[in-house]
Amino acid sequence: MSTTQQQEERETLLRHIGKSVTRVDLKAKMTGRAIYGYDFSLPHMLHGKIKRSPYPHARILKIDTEAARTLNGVRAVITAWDVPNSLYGVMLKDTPMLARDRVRYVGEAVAAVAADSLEIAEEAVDLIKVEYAPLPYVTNVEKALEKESVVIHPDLPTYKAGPPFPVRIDPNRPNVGNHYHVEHGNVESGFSEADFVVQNRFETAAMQHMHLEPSCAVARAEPDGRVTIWSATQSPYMIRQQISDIFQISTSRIRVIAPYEGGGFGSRLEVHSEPVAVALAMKSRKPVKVALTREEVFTSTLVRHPFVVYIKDGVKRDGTIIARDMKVILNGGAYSGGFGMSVCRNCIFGAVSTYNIANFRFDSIRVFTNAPPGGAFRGYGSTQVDWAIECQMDCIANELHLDKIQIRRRNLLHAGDRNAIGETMKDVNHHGVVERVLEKLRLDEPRQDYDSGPWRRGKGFALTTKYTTAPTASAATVRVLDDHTVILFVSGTEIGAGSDTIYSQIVAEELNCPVESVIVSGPDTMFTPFDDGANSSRRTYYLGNACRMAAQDARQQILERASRALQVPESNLMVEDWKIVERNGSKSIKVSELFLKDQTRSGAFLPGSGDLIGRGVWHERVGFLDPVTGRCTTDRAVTYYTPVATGVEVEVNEETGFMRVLNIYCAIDVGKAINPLSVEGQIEGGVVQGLGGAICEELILQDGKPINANLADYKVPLSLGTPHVQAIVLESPEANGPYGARGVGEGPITGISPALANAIVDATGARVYDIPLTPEKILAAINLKAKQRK
Amino acid sequence: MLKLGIAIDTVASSRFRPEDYVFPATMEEAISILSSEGEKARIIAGGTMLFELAERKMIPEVKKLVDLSRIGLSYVASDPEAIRIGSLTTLSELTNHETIGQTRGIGALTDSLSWIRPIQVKNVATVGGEICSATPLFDLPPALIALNAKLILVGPNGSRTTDLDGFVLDYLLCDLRQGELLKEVVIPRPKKGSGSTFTKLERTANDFALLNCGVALELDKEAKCRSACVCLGGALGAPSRLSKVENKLVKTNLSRQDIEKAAEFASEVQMSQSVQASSAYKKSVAKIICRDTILSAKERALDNN
Amino acid sequence: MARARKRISLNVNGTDYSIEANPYDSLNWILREELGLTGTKRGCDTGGCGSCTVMVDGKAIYSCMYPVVKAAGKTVETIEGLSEEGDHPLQSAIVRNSALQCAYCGPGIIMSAKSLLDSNPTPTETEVREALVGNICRCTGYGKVVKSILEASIEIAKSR
Ligand SMILES: Cc1cc2nc3c(=O)[nH]c(=O)nc-3n(C[C@H](O)[C@H](O)[C@H](O)COP(=O)(O)OP(=O)(O)OC[C@H]3O[C@@H](n4cnc5c(N)ncnc54)[C@H](O)[C@@H]3O)c2cc1C
Ligand code: FES
Ligand code: FES
Repeated sequence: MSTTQQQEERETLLRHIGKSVTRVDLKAKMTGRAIYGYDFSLPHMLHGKIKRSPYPHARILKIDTEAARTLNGVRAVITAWDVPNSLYGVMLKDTPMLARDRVRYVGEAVAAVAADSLEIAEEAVDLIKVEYAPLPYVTNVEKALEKESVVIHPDLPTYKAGPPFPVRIDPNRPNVGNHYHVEHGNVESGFSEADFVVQNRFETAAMQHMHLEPSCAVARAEPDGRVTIWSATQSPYMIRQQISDIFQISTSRIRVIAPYEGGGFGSRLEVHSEPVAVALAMKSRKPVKVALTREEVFTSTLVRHPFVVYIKDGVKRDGTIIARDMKVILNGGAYSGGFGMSVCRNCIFGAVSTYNIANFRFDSIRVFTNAPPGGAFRGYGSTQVDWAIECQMDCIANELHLDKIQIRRRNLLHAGDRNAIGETMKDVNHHGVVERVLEKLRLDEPRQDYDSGPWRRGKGFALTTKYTTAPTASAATVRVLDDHTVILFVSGTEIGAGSDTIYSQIVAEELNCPVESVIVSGPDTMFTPFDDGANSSRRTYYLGNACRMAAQDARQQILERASRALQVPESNLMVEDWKIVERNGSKSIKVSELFLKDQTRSGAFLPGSGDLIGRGVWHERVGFLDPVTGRCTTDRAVTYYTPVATGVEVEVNEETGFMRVLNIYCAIDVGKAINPLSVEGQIEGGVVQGLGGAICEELILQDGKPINANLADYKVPLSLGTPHVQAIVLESPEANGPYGARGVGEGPITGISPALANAIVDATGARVYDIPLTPEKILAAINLKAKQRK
Repeated sequence: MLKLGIAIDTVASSRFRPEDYVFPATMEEAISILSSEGEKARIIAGGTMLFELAERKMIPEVKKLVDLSRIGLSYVASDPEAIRIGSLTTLSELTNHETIGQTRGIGALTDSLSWIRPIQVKNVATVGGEICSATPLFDLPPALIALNAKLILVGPNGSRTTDLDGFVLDYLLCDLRQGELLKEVVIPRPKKGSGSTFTKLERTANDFALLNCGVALELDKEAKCRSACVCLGGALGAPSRLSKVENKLVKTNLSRQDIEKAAEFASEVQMSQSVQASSAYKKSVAKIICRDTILSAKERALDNN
Repeated sequence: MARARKRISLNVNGTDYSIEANPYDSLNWILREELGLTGTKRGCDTGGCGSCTVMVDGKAIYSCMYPVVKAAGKTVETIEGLSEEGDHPLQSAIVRNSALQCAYCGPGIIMSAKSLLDSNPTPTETEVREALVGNICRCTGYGKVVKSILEASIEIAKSR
């Protein structure tokens, strides 16, 4: 049998995988009965409110809380002096829970109140008087990079680095918080061989995640010193670790329970109001809810790092890129932003995973400024470098008068190639996604433009690659019950991606039972096993594998017990809809019959083990990236790479710079679509979120202060004006993925910005070098082009 | 003159919570409360703008809200001279009212209503609120100014009629006097041969105007421009008429060239920066939006001849 | 500060409530915090996101910027009043198409869609998109939501 035949055979045998099973969470959500973090409350709960800094940079001279403390109904007031004097941060311990002697951005927390009602808490916060001595501040990242800049963290050299990755500071540039360097081949000699040099500078703006449910935490200090936190987080274990670090309590004493989450997109991998809620709960001895307002989410959580990207390419006449020198500067804002610190490292993967460039240099530098902290954001650094690289590819093609697709194909990395950080590339189906988008985009068709009027039509394309980070781990536990249900314990929050449904499908597949038999427990660190969180498009792969193994483990135990009961060898038995039946025979037993019931019949147990528990864990080891050489210590730095192609058709008004996006095609190779409708949903949604960052989203700072921290002024894509995204799904299996699956969450966001900018060039000849591509910038580029033509 | 809000730079977190909230039963009662309480009392119609002001901590002095929704000011009436719109009429009611759809020449008004999109706002926001909010970013005022709308204001000293043009003086500042309320908006019935259009530049389909423009033209028998009213919003503190543009249009044949030439003057107006765009950009597109609005109004006027 | 609390009678999803509240408290706050109806969401408090959309006397409004006193004597309809079993055509179309993800926008979107279909039972795609302009969905890109509402409109029309 050929391998494709084998595969087809296997697929026809799959019962739930590859089917658009109805999502298990949607009914609860559509009836309003699902409880999200923001909805959660406890009896006798207090409401917390945070006092925030109005200055981008200032010394705190004095905090007077007297009036707040004595206000009727106030139960606790805290400042930095009431909480442990510790700094936290996943990668760099630089962030205070409440500012102690210095504030570093507008919106930073300086004090907090818990009161009987939100109304009283708000009033009390206004009664707290803080005296500041304003300091000079810097929000421009290239200014902050200078040696003489205002220093944001004078104590930076003394901060402890978090365990995951090294953090590299620079004695000559006081605001450099992290620096990675990659050197591959010989860049100088590469440039000397080049026929052309193409050099550009690109930029991206601060985009906010704008998860629709604002951040919120409820905390309760238990009488025995333990702490319970309800937080709709993307990473319950990470919250637990942070709280442990801050309060110096052992992780086992902290319990994090995650209700449904109204979106996270990376921001909610970090603590937002959790530490303050815990501190207030400890002080007041009552449960405390700290629900952020939308404004606070904008000013005081995280943003997507603004990047400045310098890119210089040496190109041969035939289009071969012989040398590339890139320098990217990340505006990190005031703090490390938790995982934000490693965007500086991971953006490298975005730069080395699509094209094979013999001589390559890459510097990425994360710089502290007095802006809101940059953090993890769907796309995690890839989006920003892809923005520059994919514009650059078109720039090269235009300059050399080469075909835009051809030049990409010519420079592609192939399976078996070594990339610039020393990874050996596995097969990444770039060709497939390119083909499928081109079928729709039809670049070969003659241009269909208007005969007159200001509107011009154009098409744009981008090819990108999204990595999935490693090493990470996910564990799953299943508990099979005597009434033929199975409870799946996982710490993966249902953030909206449909993960609960996918896990249910996998468990049901392996136990060969209906999906309805599976109940997914919500994350609760007291019961659900370890998981690294909903990040880096990793969960279908990692947790999917763990669920599969846990279910297989349970199935094995069922078979063993049935084999003994039926006196039939295991190999002759199969499980189907909670029955174990003899192949080619007549013997059978129900799973429930493996259990015993005692006299009271109040429950059942398994002789010998009590519960029927299956366990699974997935962990992948990879090499580490050396920040100085940029070499990976093994031939693998990530879990896998996912190829994405994006095509767009637009109309641009040459008089006003306004753009209409007519069509978007996005192809992605997901390995295996475990739930096709969910995969489509991820693609459509990811592209449209990317569209926001591409055309209109920017948190604007004026005098160091966000001036559009509300939804009247910060604009996101709406139903009207957003085209229906055409999602194209390819399935070339990932060797180790569950049923061949890979992640899909982030890829779709990576290509939309450059595709649009390239389409604007196609339409008008004018290029915009920084996103968002506002009408104003487009018009300026058009006018510049017109001047140059003259 | 009533200052509707103060621009303050504060990070106060207290929500606006007035001490009292009353529903007068008649216009007289409303006026008497407003006159006696002065700055402490504030009219609430739909409350949508008031809410924004409150959220941005811009009305610290207000203690009492006077809700006008139960004094019978929600109506649309028409007579041979004019269309009369009660100030408490919601934007949805106005949009769906048959008189508005059927009256010729008031395209600018129906346009502007369709550019205000969130239905949740239109179901609540009122015509009076659109006008008395005194912001340059709203869509109804430039359309109504183009249509030469008049306001009937009622106060402790009786009632007065004034042009909408000039009523809004600056950002959050309008010629509403102590104790006064807006009772009615009167739109003179456009003459035969007139046409009007409103257009808007916006970042997304739910946004305040980057710039907006209301234009009404009246043609004579020879299809020459008899009168023109061109009003630009989003540029400065109040929607403003562009008299230079208007003068250039009058007596011309309204050829594309005539219109382009006239519209050039729109870009001479001073413009202020907003989150939507810089003043330089606004300047460069003002003439475009003006030109296109005038062109469309002309087409409509020709249809109405 | 003396703040007049008033007794306010509300009818929510067919049930009469009598509550004490500050008249200017938002209907959203009262629904969620006083009546425990957390199906109606809260995402911005300033008319910016639409997650708080409910119907008052049959019309979609933002409950976050609607003083509760204005709702006195009127009927309020929230997601909880639609169908507890989730079998209203709008609910089932969204579930069938996996049209939403985190679905925090869902209750608001459904109420906007319902108010649309009540007045315009056979909307075009553009009309549906217009009716949703006041509702942000950050996860889905809207395509499947719009499709679901169109499907639901056909289903409702058939059953009439
Ligand atoms: C999300 C959102 C989107 C919006 N989009 C648009 C848009 O695209 N285009 C647009 O033009 N507008 C838009 N608006 C603005 C909206 O139309 C205004 O908020 C509304 O018109 C105000 O009317 P209201 O009845 O709610 O006024 P209120 O908030 O009740 O009052 C506003 C002000 O006017 C005063 N006032 C009200 N009525 C009277 C009266 N009869 N006499 C004297 N004073 C009075 C009040 O005292 C107050 O100072 C939007 C608003 C929101 C919230
Ligand atoms: S909470 Fe009401 S619109 Fe956002
Ligand atoms: S599904 Fe998350 S906001 Fe709509």
